[in-house]
Amino acid sequence: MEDSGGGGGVAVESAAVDISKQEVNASNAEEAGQVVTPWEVAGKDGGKIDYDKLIVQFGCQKLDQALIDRVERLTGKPAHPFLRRGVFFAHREFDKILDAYEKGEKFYLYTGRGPSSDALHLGHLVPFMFTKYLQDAFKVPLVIQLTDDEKCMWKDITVERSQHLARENAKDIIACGFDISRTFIFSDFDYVGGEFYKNMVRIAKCVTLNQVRGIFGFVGEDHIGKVSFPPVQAAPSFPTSFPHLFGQRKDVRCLIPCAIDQDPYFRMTRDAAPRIGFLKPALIESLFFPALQGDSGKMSASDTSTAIYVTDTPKEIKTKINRYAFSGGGDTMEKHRKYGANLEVDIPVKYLSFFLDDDAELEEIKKEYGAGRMLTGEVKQRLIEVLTAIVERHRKARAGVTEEMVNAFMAVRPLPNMYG
Amino acid sequence: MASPHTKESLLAFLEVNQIEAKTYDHPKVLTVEEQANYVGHLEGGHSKNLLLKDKKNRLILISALTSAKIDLKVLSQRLGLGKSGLRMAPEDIMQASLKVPLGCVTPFALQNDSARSVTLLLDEGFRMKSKVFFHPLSNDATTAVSPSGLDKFLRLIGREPVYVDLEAIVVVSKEQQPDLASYLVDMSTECITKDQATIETRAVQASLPVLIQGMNDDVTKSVVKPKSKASPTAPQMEFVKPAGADVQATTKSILDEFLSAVQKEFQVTSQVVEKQGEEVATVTSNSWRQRLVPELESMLVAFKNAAYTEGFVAGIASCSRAKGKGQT
Repeated sequence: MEDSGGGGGVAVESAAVDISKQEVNASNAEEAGQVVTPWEVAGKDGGKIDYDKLIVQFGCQKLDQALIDRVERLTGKPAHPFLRRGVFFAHREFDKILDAYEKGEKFYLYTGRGPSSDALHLGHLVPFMFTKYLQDAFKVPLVIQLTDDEKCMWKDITVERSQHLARENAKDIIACGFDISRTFIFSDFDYVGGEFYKNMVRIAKCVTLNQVRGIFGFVGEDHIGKVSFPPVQAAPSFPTSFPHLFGQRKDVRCLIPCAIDQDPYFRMTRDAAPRIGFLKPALIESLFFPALQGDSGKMSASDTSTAIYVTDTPKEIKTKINRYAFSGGGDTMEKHRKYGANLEVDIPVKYLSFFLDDDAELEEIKKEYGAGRMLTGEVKQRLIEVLTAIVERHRKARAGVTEEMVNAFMAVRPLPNMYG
Repeated sequence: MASPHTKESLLAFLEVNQIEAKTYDHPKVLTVEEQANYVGHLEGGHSKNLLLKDKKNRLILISALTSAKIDLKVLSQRLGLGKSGLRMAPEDIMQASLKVPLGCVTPFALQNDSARSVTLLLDEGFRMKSKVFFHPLSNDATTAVSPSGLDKFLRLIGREPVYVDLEAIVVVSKEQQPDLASYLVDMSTECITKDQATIETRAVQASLPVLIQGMNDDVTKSVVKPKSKASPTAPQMEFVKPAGADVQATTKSILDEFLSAVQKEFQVTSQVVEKQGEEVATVTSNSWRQRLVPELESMLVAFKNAAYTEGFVAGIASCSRAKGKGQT
């Protein structure tokens, strides 16, 4: 899995960018503006992404207030800020998951990461933070796929190095606070085989070469490893891929939290599912996490000033926010007091809406800042506090993750209390 | 000071602790090449072991696969010591700390108390081998253990095994911190003890009596007690292990978190009470909850995961023991 253009979560990266992608181009024809695919994300004329248009374009559903209320009712606790604030804003058949849950039927979560050598940044944490919330709120098991094989192929690193990176990334993922009695982490190189491989082949038989060319942009020069990779990422959507967890049951539903650029990819999986006797996996999809520099900036692994990393010190966080976070405040004090801040483009407020838990405080800040009574510096100060707390907590948790713990999370073992 | 360990005492130690080890005797060897003449044909991970020292006289034992290509300049930077911060440790230092002769450097020597402060970095590659080979404190033999056997040995002598990719070329720069620096056993890693003492002292000095009213008496007592003990004494030099499933350490962390929150909240609360005239009890309770819940939950899930891991390790060990003894 790999994230593109700042999005976290489940993704597949592809090499070629400038060949015609039948499927997406067809639907893009009318739009002739923004481009959102698993490997490329760009707004119309380099501007913001229009998420409403995207929902229409992809054909998924908007996550409305009724669903959020239903989640709160069913789980008996407030919905996660990411739901309340519209960070996770679209879905496919999430309502069916809630129906099943209400009837007492089981479901499981599936998410993953393409292990890279870079430290995780906050954008990477978003899907994992949300997945943790889902795990705790619904008390369901979770499988996490580390696509070391994908990295080995796309980034051209050795098998051993990609396996090593998978373990390193696993530690950061574990530090997000997943419950070991309900979580199975696996790397493709370790786990592919047996029932998982049988499902890969069943899926592969449903997808033509032309289709993957259309979805992922493969060309004749791409090596065959890439072309045969997509079923690896589709297989975890089906419970029989994990016989130690679900035995031979085909009726356990799967919910996949991911960034919306993955939608075309899971459309492929959902298309194959009924043809091989499986339930379609449900999706719950998020916006892209903005770069520090704002919508025009793209989060780049090579430029560390574009993101806050989980390894940043409090001092570095302070410097990065103060220096690089794009401000929607007025150019001068007078203009700011008179016209207020432009909340549409202001990054500190956007980041706060991701990470500040207190709804009342966030509203207060938006009101005061938007009216020009609060200054950019104060908003940034609050953001620095919030982010420092998150990063510090992560760092402490990460320090407590031992090799044995990673082995335990990754052991193929039954999880007897996974719904407890 | 305890007398240095010998090959015999080491092998006895391994046996008593049920760490499977097979020892091959051969004439004395001083180099990896010579050693290979006698045991090189055996399947598994053969090791080369270097004892290095930095400018502050800290010792680092690098234990790697013989096939590993190690660039000492890169390693030095990864340890945060600059480009030429590492040298081979001279024989007298090796003798004094590891208590083994030249050509005999081995992780087993860390059993000696004199090697307490030596940092051990193990080659990642060992983990994938069925067996790994080291000198058992003597040049005239080579002992094979499994990687988990080695881990068990290290834990028994109070160390957490650290495996790293010794060959990785990590370029240290502004963006890329020295990735191995945190493993260096250092005086400063003990500042946890000092900082905790400071927090507790400060908490006592803030006007707590009002807030502690109605709180558990035990909490008050534990706040007061450390004040007398909290003198800035020299910290012991010990490798700081993660708290894991350690109940005392977790409780301490929880209390520290709580007390530092008390300190912060006292200031915030008094402002809110002034501004809005709300009940002290409600304000403190709600905002404390908000501030504390994420921290406590994070600590407790880490605790749970560590406890489960201990059980898992024990389970695996007892299964393989049962298998080894012919039972299933």
